[in-house]
Amino acid sequence: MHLTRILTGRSWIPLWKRKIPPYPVYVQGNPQNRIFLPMFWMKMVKLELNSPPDFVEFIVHPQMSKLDVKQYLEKIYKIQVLNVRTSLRQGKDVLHPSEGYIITREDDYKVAFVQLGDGRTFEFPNIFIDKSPDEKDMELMQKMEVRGKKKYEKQYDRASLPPWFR
Amino acid sequence: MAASLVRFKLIKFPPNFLNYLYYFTNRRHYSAHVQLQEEVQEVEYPPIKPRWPPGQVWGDLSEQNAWKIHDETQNIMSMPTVAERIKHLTSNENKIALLKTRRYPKNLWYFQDRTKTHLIDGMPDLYSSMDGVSDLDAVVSRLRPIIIDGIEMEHDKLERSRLFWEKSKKDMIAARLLLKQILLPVRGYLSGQNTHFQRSRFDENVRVVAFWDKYGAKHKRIQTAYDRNKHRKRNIDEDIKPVMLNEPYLYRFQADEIVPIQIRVERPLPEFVPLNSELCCGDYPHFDYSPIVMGHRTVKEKHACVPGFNLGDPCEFGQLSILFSNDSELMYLKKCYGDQNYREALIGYGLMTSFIWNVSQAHFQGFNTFLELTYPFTTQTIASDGQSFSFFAYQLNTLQLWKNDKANPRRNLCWSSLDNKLYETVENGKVKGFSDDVFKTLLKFLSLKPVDRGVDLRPYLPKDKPLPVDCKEYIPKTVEKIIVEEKIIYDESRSN
Repeated sequence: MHLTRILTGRSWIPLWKRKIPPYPVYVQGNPQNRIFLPMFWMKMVKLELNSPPDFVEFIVHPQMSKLDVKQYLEKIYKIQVLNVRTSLRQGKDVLHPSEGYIITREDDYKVAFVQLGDGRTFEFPNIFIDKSPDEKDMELMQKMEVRGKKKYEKQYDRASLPPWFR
Repeated sequence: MAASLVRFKLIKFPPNFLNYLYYFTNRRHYSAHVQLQEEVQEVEYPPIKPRWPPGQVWGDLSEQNAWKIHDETQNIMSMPTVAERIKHLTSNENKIALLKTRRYPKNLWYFQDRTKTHLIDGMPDLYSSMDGVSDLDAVVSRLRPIIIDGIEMEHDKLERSRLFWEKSKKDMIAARLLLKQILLPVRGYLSGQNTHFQRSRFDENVRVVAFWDKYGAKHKRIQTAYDRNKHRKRNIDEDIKPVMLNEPYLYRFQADEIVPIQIRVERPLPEFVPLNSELCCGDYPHFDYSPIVMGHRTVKEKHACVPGFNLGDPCEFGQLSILFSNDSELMYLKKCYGDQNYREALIGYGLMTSFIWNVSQAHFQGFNTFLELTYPFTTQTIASDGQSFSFFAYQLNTLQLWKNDKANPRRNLCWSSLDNKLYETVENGKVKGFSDDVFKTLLKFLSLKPVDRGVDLRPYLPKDKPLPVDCKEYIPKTVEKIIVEEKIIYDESRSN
């Protein structure tokens, strides 16, 4: 949780990133505690690799196990799950804007690959069919920069001449 | 301008000032006189190389790589022995995609693509033609009481509970004992009639490994948290590439198995379908994703090619390999993913083991990924737990899987029939519902005679050199010499 500390300036972590409080150990004969609203969460993302249509990828709370992922989908959303694989991913490096060295790293995260059962398939929707307005502006900016550079490069050898004769 | 520069340097006397003396010498003379040389009429050009190497259809490959393969084939052809060829192919340590045959569900589709096989329900026509020729009914009636007695003895009369101290292997040990009770009397009886069976080899717990190259889809590298080489952001294509090629869609695969029981014979089995037939060319299920998607991993290992025997063994061809359908990994798969997925996984297990065994046998006859097969290789496999038998028959038609489908339209074939029960139950120490049909197919698998194919079995190996022999003489042979120093005759009447 390095990045959050740096951005906030103190050791405060948002609730959804926090560690899950330890569950009391069950001893036979005691009343069994039940958690109705656990701190688990799952975020569906687009698959990194090309994969068959019955695969879905999630970014999950790093403390969730394979069984947790399976039960989360089966009991809340009533979707049958055949198989779950999980893997831990390293966060990307955050570079200094001008110098280029590494300041920090983004938080590590857990990925769950879920294979759906019952012959169910899922296709991730294409949210931005056209490019987003920010991306469009960025592309225009880059184009203009290149065009200006090319104009300027033509005048390198005539730099000593007054502009009238260039 | 230039003169002033030189003067400046002469005054200063740099360490390499002797070089500047060059300008003051009168070595440079130019003149307008040119000595005329006689023109050479015959123009010499370098020899023209054809664009593609001759002899094969190359398909999607680039010209550079096609020439590389062409040179490699000639390099391998120059090696006279099989041992040298396998050592050359397995010398480099590269990354390979290790296929786990009974680990993940819904992998049959994937295995079919990687081995380029077409699945067929039921058994080939060769077995149905065996009914009329050989009198199997007489053999069945002779052997039925012996086998029923063996099954009953395993179930009730013998107490082997002390053997089963390992819970995970309990069922497998029971299956091994039961199968031996069925196989050994059959083997003893049939060896009287079939001469090939007398010289066959019966092995247990044999390691079978093979590697091959396959045409596939492009991959992408992902950076994981526990990646050792995280500073090297490479594509995954670079990792799984075959030894010499730089094509992005070619990958090397390897699979490793331990087969419980194997039977080998001296000559190859008859081919189920001739190579010219329409079945051998055609379509097969395609899977254009990376092996990582299904959970398989890439490992840096030495390649290996092990068919289960050493070089120079007299029995170099496979008759039958027996697997356990109640293998501990398969049963775990059944428990997690259900019965339907277990059946698929069982077919995949039988398919992969028979494919690997065929490939490694072909390597020992001098064939490679570069040297295409001239005749098909065939094997039979049985997966059983002693009660239910599932039969497989496999025919290997191609080894050049690195070629495009247009360039190499051939495919491999696999026949399968699942869940044939030999008997229904054992009640009060007696077998009930013994089926003769299943027992007859088992007899057919065992008594299928190897034939002379009428082809050269080792076309790519030189015929002058003697083949290797497996047996070593650890104890040197001693010849007894009888030296007679003095002949003594005790009874003269007997000597004559």
